[in-house]
Amino acid sequence: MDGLQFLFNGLFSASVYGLIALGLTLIFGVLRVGDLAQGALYAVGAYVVFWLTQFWGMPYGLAVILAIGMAALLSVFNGHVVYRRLRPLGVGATFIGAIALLLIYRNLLVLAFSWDPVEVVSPFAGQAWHAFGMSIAIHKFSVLIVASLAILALWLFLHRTRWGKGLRAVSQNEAAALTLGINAKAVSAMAFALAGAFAGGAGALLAPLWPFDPGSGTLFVLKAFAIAVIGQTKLRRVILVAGVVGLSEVLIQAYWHAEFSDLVPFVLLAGLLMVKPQLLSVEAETLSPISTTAPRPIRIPARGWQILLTVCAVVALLTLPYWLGNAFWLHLMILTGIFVILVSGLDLLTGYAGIPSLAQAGLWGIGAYTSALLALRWGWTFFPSLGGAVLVTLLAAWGIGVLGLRLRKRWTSFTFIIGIVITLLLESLTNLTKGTHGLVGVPSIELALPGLETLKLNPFRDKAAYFYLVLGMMFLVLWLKQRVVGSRMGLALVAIREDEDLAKSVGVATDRYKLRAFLLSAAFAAVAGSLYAHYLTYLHPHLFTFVQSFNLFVMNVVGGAASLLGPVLGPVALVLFSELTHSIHATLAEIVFSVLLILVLIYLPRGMVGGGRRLMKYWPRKTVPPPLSPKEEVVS
Amino acid sequence: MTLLNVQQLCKTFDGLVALDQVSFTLKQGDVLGIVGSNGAGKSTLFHLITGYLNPTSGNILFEQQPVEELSPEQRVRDGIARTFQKNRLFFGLTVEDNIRTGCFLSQRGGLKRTLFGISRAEKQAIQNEVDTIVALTGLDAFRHNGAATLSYGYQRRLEVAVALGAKPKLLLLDEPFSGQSPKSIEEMGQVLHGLAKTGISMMLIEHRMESIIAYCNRLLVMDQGRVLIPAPTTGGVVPC
Repeated sequence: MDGLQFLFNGLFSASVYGLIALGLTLIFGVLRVGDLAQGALYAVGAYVVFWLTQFWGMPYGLAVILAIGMAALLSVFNGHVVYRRLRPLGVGATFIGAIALLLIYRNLLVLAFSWDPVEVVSPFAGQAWHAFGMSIAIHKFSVLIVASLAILALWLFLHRTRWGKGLRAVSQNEAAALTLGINAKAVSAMAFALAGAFAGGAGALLAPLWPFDPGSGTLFVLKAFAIAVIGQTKLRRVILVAGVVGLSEVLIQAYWHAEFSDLVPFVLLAGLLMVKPQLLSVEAETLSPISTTAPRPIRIPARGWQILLTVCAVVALLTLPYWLGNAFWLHLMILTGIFVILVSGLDLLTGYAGIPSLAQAGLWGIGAYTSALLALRWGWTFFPSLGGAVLVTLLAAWGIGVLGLRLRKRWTSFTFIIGIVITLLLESLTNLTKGTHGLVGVPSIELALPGLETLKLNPFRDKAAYFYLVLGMMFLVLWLKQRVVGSRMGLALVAIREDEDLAKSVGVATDRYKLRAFLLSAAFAAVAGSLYAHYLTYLHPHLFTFVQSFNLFVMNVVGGAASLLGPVLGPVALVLFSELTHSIHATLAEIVFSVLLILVLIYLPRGMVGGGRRLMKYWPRKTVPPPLSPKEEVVS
Repeated sequence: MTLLNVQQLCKTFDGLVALDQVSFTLKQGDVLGIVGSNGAGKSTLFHLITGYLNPTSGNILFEQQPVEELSPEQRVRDGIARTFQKNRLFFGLTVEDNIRTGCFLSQRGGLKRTLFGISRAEKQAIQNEVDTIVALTGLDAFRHNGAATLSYGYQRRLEVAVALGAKPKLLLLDEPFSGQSPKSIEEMGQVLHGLAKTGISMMLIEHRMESIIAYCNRLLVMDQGRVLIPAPTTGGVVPC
């Protein structure tokens, strides 16, 4: 009897995953974008139904139809107002845009409905069939039927209608489709509308089954995304993979750990990438690097000015605790310093080697947890814990790098999955990490100085001491990064970024250098993790999610990639902005931030450093360094 | 002295035979022209010799050493450099930086150099190498221009310059004259003449027989993965 029940539940999940995954596939086809904002459209669908039934007394069925229309409209807006403008800037920019949109919609929902979970009453509330010892909720059954019909209808549409054929033509080659007289813009709008309708429809249909909040749907769409990639964005394969994932989730929930069931699609994807990387030819390039080619500085200030500015900056930083006074500001500066370390490591990958990693928050988490556990369980002092954290993180990064770096362009999507896996592991290894309860009471730092009594740093009272510690580490990291960038390794990394095959042809051992860069960035992440753990004295898996990785990436891009100053300016700007605005209105702040982010991507693609360089034209100078860089010219 | 010895080289892609029992030898100082229709296996042959593809069977001996197990970058270290059919450059960098990156192997790494920098003499040595290549390829007027701003003809010449950075003994040029005006073809030809004088062996894929006759002393005609006319072991171009 269990078998049939499992089959039904599995098919049910599979049909919904399949539906959303097919929507993502359509969008990927026309724009080569992994549209994670569909996660928010799922929530929009659910909330529109909630609002219409609850406040307008509309019948559920009608509300579902309106919700689908709404989600489809928003999806077309995303595609044509945002993604179309970001696409020429690189896939990375589009990806950031997708997440920014996700946050905008989510927070708009929070503004309207708050985070409190809500419920919708199904027209079939509580009704179920009982047969062969299983119990089938009628609502669930209807969802299964509707989703399956939608999938069938999509297949017929794609293969039997002119528009469907046009859509397939555009996803093969947009330029070629244009020469055939296909209206590519209209076709791509249709793809977005269909995808939005599927995601919004899923949200609307599933709304009566469980309570939901504005964040619902994100994990759902992430899974669907993994399924779409595993299915190589081919209709039949996607449905098959959705079926496998749906059934295995049900089985894992029943016979093993319920917490592990969410891992299924991601582990499946990571595993598949290992075994047959060529399976995912172009599909998984969804998240591949942003174009970060660093232009040579057009004009740089004369040496005297440089020295003066550097001295001023260092003096200002060293005396910061004295004129800040306020503990809150010092706290922000400590956090900023930790982010500078993280982003500087990431910049070696994003800016120099052109292989951005979205596993950085995960590695940061591994470093933080290792350091915290070494101190908590075995009473290690700060520096040994720090060393241990670096070692463990390096080991993890070595594994990830050896497995993933040979995937070349698929590397970034691989790290994205790894980041999610790390967070889910931190959550599920409850014996070690205490899971979502969080790890409390991480010892603060004690510095045993020779000849002096042990210096105990209380993170609440001795913020200035913590600040100097972080500042010291930050300078060390920045110095190391600058040395590496100026060395032969830096040359190799830039060569890899520009053209990996060509780099090989001049004798660069590309795999080795990519691994070294990744290990170095992991070591930086571990240092940041250790500092973070002993400063916060509290750790939670949700501090290190893929959203945090995304934040680091954003700091890197906003500050300016492939520079010394960019990874410093980015964290400063973002931490200050988010803290200052969050204290006024957290939700509104995130909306404003996401909107600004999209604008920065469109109008300032090289970040603050790039903007600054444009202003340098007006700076007094003596020397005339190298002339215009090609890429800069293309931009302006 | 035999520089390159290719023995019974085969390559199949899922049943499609791209190269079938290709054998030939190349002596030091030879300039070998390879002709053949599209799909004859010329570029596949280049990929196999430089390590971008692995042979299905057969051997490649470079200076009497088997190289077919080595990675592309190891073969570069041994002295086999190449250019690509579609022009590939470090487009985000200047001409000079392209060539400097090409000289990657001449630069020394290591922990000490990474942390504390390289000496002034070492820097000067690299700069001299770059200057030599710039002079050899006639790119002096553009050395500070971005690689992407060059005209197509100069870009192809810069590719040769980048490949020269590895100080190759054997240089493989994949259609170095394609898509260029008669004037740039002639200039490229002068560059190749200059290179041949320095004693570098070359293999070049080319469709125009005039270029083959002008710059090559050996010829290999390929069709459907086979060698129709093998390269003669002594000098003189064999016209088709």
